[in-house]
Amino acid sequence: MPTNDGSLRNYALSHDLMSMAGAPAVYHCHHFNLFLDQTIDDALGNTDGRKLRFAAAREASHDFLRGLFARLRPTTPAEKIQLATETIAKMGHGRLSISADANGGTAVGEFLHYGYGWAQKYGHRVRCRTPQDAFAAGFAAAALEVTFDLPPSVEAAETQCVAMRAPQCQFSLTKGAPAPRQTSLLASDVLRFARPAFDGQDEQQIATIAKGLRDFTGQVGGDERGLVQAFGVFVTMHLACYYNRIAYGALGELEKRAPTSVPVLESLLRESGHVCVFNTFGGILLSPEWEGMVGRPKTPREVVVGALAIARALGFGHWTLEDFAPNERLVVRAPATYESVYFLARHGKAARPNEYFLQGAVLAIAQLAHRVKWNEKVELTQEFYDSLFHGVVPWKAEQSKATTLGHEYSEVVVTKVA
Amino acid sequence: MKLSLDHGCLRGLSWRLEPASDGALERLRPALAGGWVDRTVMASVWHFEAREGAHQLVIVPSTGRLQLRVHYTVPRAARRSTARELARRLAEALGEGEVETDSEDALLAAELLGAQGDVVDPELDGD
Repeated sequence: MPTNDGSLRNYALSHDLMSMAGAPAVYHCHHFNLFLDQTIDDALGNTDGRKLRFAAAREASHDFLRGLFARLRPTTPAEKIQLATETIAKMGHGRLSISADANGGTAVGEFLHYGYGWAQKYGHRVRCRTPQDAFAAGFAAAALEVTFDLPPSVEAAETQCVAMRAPQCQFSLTKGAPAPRQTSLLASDVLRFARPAFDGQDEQQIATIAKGLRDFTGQVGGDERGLVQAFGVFVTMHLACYYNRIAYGALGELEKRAPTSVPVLESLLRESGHVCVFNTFGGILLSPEWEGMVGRPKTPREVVVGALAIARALGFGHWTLEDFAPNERLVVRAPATYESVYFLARHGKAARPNEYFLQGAVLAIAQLAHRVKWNEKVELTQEFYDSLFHGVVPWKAEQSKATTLGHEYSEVVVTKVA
Repeated sequence: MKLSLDHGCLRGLSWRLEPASDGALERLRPALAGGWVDRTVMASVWHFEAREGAHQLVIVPSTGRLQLRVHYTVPRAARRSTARELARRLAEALGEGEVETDSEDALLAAELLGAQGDVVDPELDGD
């Protein structure tokens, strides 16, 4: 994704972890983004869910914007705000116009990824009753804080949202009580927790495809509305700390409030992996771009190899193929994932295997490899998704190793169930 | 020229074009010169953007696949007619006849038109 100087996106190539202006980053589509946000609200309730999402967005954006300003050195407040909003638009989050000083102000959003994505996905069927752009709100708050060197104290309330059928999204920005400042988590911080990299089966092929995809995504940026439409979805380059903070933050909160509900949330976090693989991986595998670069997949193994390359190009980690027996078993290993390095850096050792996105994604790869007729006309509809993941799923996924438990690598084993 | 829905999870935006005549791909580049801007970044996939409306045409020269991408700002109800109009212009530029659509797409068109109504069932209100 091109940015102002073309060098803000960086990959730690041995681990296929991505950063943007020094902040850990990954690509995810609007289906995943909406699903994960909804999952957090389902777990904590709308009010607390939104609070957590706002706080996560503000924290992650804080680190990102400090890195951005340090690299590109804008000087005046107006230059800083402009750089912040232009960069987030190039990352596919839509257009945000901020009119504010150190005491607060307003922001207007047009084509914001979450609100607009919600309207596109659900708006023709249901009316949304709550604003959807907690990420943009947190970003706007962080933009003010970093621009004016304030502690985390700016509150942003979304007063209108296109998902609620308003013509545009509007935010009020006010100064509140300073919140405790979280320790920064930059790419350099989390990468210290990556275990030594290794290769797996079909390594050369996976690496070559991943490189081609990285080169391709490097050419793609937000359009004049600040959206990236690619592979049949709206894509964002997003801050990985946002995803991790809301997922692990909601789990931590639920463990205190309602521990018996934790398995339900874990299951939904796994499902976010299904949503991502079905929509984004599926969209990529069916795209003309893939057909031209790689060729339409013909066998389950080609789907698996392609999917691992996609995961790497999206910045999810160095996902390797340890074992694959069609219709029987799929084993994926990684020395680090965007979940594991965050968890280790922020929380330390885990109590149980907890790379939920990885767990769900590997199961979904097995489903895509075996249950999609790639040589026929395929439509990635909600109905098709439901038929693949909400009926009888003939696979069981188990995370048998986790770097968050102290193992040398993370491993997910997917086996066929009778 | 045959026009049918292509895969995609944003409904009605991606369409598959199948020219009726052989050698259409060779004639396509010069035919696009007027109304489309060449945005190709990979030799294996040609990419064009319509000067009007920013719709996209993606071509895989090795397989002959043509995908028309209607711009996402086009309302759902107008996506099919927009795709048809773009296909008609392309067919004309290639010297081909009528644009055909299949019956499955007629079903989608009905769905898209139905989806355009602004009536919301309060029972379905989402949070």
